[in-house]
Formats: sequence, C-alpha cells, structure tokens
Amino acid sequence: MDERDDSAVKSRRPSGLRSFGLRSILVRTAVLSWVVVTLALSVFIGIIIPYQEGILEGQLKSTAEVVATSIDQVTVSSIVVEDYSSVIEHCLKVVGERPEVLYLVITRRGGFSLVHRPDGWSYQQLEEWWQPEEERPSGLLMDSELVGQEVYHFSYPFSYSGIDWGWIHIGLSLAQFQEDRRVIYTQTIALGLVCMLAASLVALFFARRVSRPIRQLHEVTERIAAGELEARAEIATGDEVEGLAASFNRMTEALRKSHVELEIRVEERTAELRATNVRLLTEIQERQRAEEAQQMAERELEEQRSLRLRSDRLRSLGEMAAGIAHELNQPLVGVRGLAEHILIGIERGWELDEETLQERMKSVVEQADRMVHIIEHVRRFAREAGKTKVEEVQVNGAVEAGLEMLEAQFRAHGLGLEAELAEGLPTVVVNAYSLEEVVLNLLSNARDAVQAQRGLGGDGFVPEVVVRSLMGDPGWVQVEVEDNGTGIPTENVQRVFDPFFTTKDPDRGTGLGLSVSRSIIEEFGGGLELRSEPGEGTKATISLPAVEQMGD
Amino acid sequence: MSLRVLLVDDEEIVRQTIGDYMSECGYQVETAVDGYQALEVLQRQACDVALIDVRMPGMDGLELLARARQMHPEMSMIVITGHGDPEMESQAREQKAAGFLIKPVNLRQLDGLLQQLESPAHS
Repeated sequence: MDERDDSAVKSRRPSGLRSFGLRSILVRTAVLSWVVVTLALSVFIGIIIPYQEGILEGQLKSTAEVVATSIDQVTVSSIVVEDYSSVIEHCLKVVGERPEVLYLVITRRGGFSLVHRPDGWSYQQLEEWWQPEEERPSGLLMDSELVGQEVYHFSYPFSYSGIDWGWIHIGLSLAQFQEDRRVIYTQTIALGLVCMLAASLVALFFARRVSRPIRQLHEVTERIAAGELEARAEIATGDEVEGLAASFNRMTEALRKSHVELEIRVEERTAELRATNVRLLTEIQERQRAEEAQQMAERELEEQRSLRLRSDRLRSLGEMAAGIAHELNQPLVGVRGLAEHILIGIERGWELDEETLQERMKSVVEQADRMVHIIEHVRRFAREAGKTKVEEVQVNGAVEAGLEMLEAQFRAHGLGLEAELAEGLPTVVVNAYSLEEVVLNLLSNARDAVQAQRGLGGDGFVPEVVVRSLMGDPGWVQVEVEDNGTGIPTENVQRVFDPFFTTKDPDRGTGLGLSVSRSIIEEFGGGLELRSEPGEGTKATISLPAVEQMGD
Repeated sequence: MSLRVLLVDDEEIVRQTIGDYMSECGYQVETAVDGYQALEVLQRQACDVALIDVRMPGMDGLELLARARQMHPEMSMIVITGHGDPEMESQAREQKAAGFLIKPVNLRQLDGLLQQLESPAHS
C-alpha cells in the first residue's frame, strides 16, 4: 500500500484519483467490519443452537418421564404380581392416547419384556442392552431397530418395595422434535442472513465514513501534487484525520509560501541570468567589434607597411632610375655627339677620311652596346632581385654590377667611388641580384652620408666611398662598403636595423633599407654588420658563407 | 684668329666627342679631366671660352668657374649640366655663365653659343 502510494505520488497523475480497488480503505474497512459481525453472529449461533436443541430434548425427556411415571404408578403392582393383562391394557391405552409414543417396552430383570407398538403388543426376551446399569432415568437419540427409525429412547428403572424390578423403555417419535429443530435452524439462519446484510450495510456505511476524509485528503494531495497549491482539505470529522488534515493544510501553506518564494527567487535569478546573458552578449559583441577594429587596424597597419614598403621600393626604383639615367646619359653623349658630328660634317662638306669615319662609327656602336648592357642588366635586376632562386656566384660580379649602376651618379655628384676587389675569392650561394640590391642600398646610404658630411662644409673634405671584397674569417667571404660620411650616432647604432627606423627626411627614406638588406643576407646564411664612428664614417660589412672548394 | 676653348669633363667620351667636333670646326681645343688640371692649363695660357661640366669629383664645376674667373675675368664660361639639375643651373647663372648646355650635348647649340661669343658684337 505504502509502495503503491509512493509510486502514485511519483507517477504524478493529475488526471483524477487513482483507484485502489480491493485494497482501498473503504473495501478493507467494510470487509473487516463484515467479518467481525459475521464472526460474532457465528459465535452466537454456535451457542444458541445447541442450547435450543437441549431445550427441545428436555421437552422430549419430560414427556417421556410423564408417560413413564404414569405407567410406573399404574402398572408396577400388576407387574409384580404378573398381572400382565391390566398392564397391557393400560399401556395400550397410553400408547393409543399419545401418538408420539412409538413403542413402550417393560423389561423385567432377566430380559422378559412386554413390547407395545402402535400396531400391537408381544412378549419378547430381550438382550442385555435393554437392562442398563444406570439406576436413574436416562434418554438418548438413537436409531431403533424396534421401529426402524430414529427415536428418543428413554429408560426408566422401576422398583417396588425397594426392589428393582426392571425398566420401562419409551421410544418417542422425533417428528415434532425434528420439525421444531428445523424451525429453529431456519429462523436462526434467516436471522443470521438478515443480521449479515444489516452488518454489511452498516460496515459499508461505517467504512465510507471512515474512508471519505482520507479520500478527500488524498484528492487534495493529488491536486497539490498536480500544482494546485491553493487546494485545502476541509475535513471536520473531529478525529485524527481532521488533525492530519489541519497539519497537512499547514504544511501545504508552508509549501505554497516556499513555492511562491522559490518562484520569486527563480524569477529574480532568471532576470539576473537574462541580464548577465545580455551583458555577456554585449561584451561578446564589443569584443568582436574590438577584434574587428583591431584586425582593421592591423590590416591598415599592414597596408601602411606595404604602402611604405612600396614607397620605399619606389624610392629605390626612383634612385635606381636616376642612376640609370646618369649611366645611360654618358654613352648617349657619345652616341649623339659622334653621330651629330658626322651629320654636321656631311652638311658642311667637311673632308672625312674613311679611317676616322670608321673609328667614329665603331665608337657609336660601342656606346650603344654599353647602353644595351645597362638596360639588359636593369631588366634582369628588376626580374631577379627578391626571388628566392640562388646560385653559386662570385661576389665580385654582383658588387661590380652595383658599382656600375651608381658609378655615373657618384661621379655626377662629385663623390669618390673606389673599388678594391680581391681576386680569386671562393664562390658564394646567393641570388646575385638580391646581393646587388643590398650593395646598392649600402652604396646609397654611403652616398647620403658623404653628401651630408660635405653639406656640413668642412674644409678640404673629399667625399669618398670604398667598396671592397675580401676573404674574411675562414669560410667567409666579405663585402665592405666604407665611407667617410657623418657616421651613425652611438645611440642609433642598435636601431638602424629596426624596420622603419630612419633619421632621414620622410621623402628620402622609410628606414626599411637596412632591415630588408639584413634579412636578405641572413636568408643566404650570412650576416650584415655596421661599425660607425660619428663624424668619421661608417663601415658596413656583408659576410657570406664561402662554398668549400675542392682541393683547397 | 679662332677661339681658344678649354673643355673640362671627367668623362672621356665627352671630351673625345665634343673636343673632336670643336677641333674640326676650327677652334683651338684644350681638355682637362678635372678642375685642378683645368687650372693648370689656364695658368699656362689664357683661353677665350671654358666649357665646364658642373658635376666632377674633387673640385666641382662651380668652384672651378669661380677660381678661373679670378684668374681670367674676361673669359666666357659655358656650363654643361645633366638633365634635371635646375639647382646647379641657377647657381651657374649666379656665376654669370655665358651659356648652358645639357648632356647629351646638342652640337648645333654648342656651335651657336661659340659663334655668338666669336662675333665682334660680343667682343
């Protein structure tokens, strides 16, 4: 039952009350009440019936006694004197008057008996059973062989003058007795049935009374379990159930209050959570925005960088273009001059011998070739510099190419440019054009430095840049670019390799030159170092790993 | 008598082409590779005209021009500059150069300048 209740609560079936069937309190109480009533009734019947039967038997006995006493009083003297005819007469009279007497036997000691039956009388010698030792009258219910049916057999000892003479036996018909007994049984059973019916009704009524408040309570419990916290048990039975209902109501009220509180708290918490959620969302959005902004800033910075890089490249290109212009201008002077000289000569009819003409034309072709060479080199430089492709080359080639590119410019600006290139150096593995780019960059720096120094107006200052190639530490080939320019202030020596560090005017440099140069050289497994003395000059040294030579 | 011209340029091809041309035109041509050599030549003998490249290592053309003028104030100066060197040009103008030539030199222009200097109106 308890388990069932638990499961009922657990299963929380709000739809109606659960039916407990035969196990319900109603049925149990009703059955119990009925059983109690029935038991009591049975006990009562068990006592009353034998009692009634006893009374009926007593009636039989008293009838037999009356008969026996009358016969005893009338016939005893006749028997003693053996006047059987008067005895028989009297007996027949008695038997005739009383139809319930089925037989009447007078037995003398010794077994001689006078047997009277409704259909006549006889003498008989009867066995010992008819001579009981009992000295007092006694009766019993038995099947009689004498009449072939059940009878009430009554034995009455008779005596005369203190001598026991024999017995008077009377057999009474049980018809009346059985009828009476049947009536008693019938009545009793009928009464019992009525009582049981009444008991059932009463039990049912009683059970209902008892179980109704419990059912109500159950109902309310179910409603509360279903969430109807306002439900209250209204029970006024004045007993423990009412007390239970009151306690239950108090409990429910407490539950409702705590539930309301809980709901309020849940609502508050939910609101808090929602607010937190909103805050988090906002934060996330803000963070996303910040990230986007940062990314944009980074992109902008990157763009700016690439822009600066491009502008730096453009500047290099511009510088280079200027160098190329200078470089091309020189042979162009020759080409133009020689050709125009010939043209004017023809116009003016100057005498021109074959040899001179041939010499001049040869010179024109040479100068044109020089221009082609320069242009071809520039083209290849533009194509190859910056590529990752490396090859085994002589450093002198790249250094000379760089020198060639700037030689004219240096001369045009009145700047000394010397080359001291060692012969027979080991080869290095580099991109020759990238190496040339670095040499060009170092030469432009040197050019700027010596020009700046000249600008300071020192007397007798001769701007001078020297480029050397030499064997450095074993296994290393070095290229030096040394100038007698302004030098780098000590505090800047460490920073000149930082990207975008520059001391020049914005239109003259972005500061990427040295940083890019160093990374190019490092890509070839080498290094780029600067040694500078402010006011004295700067020496930049490129170190490249030499290719090990066979047989060296 | 033909003009005596001093050509100062560190570039051999320039000296060669312009020098040869002026010789053929009948001028007496002297050449110098730099300012110092030019001053040496001028110390020996005065010239009527000096053609000076402004960009030279060591002593540049403007310095040479100033010093040569001190030696021979009557001498005409023609300045040769590269393309796109307006700064030098304006400085040369301040030094009262008689003319300007831009490399690569236009020989007819040079002709014109020299004939102008040669003409009696000028002298």
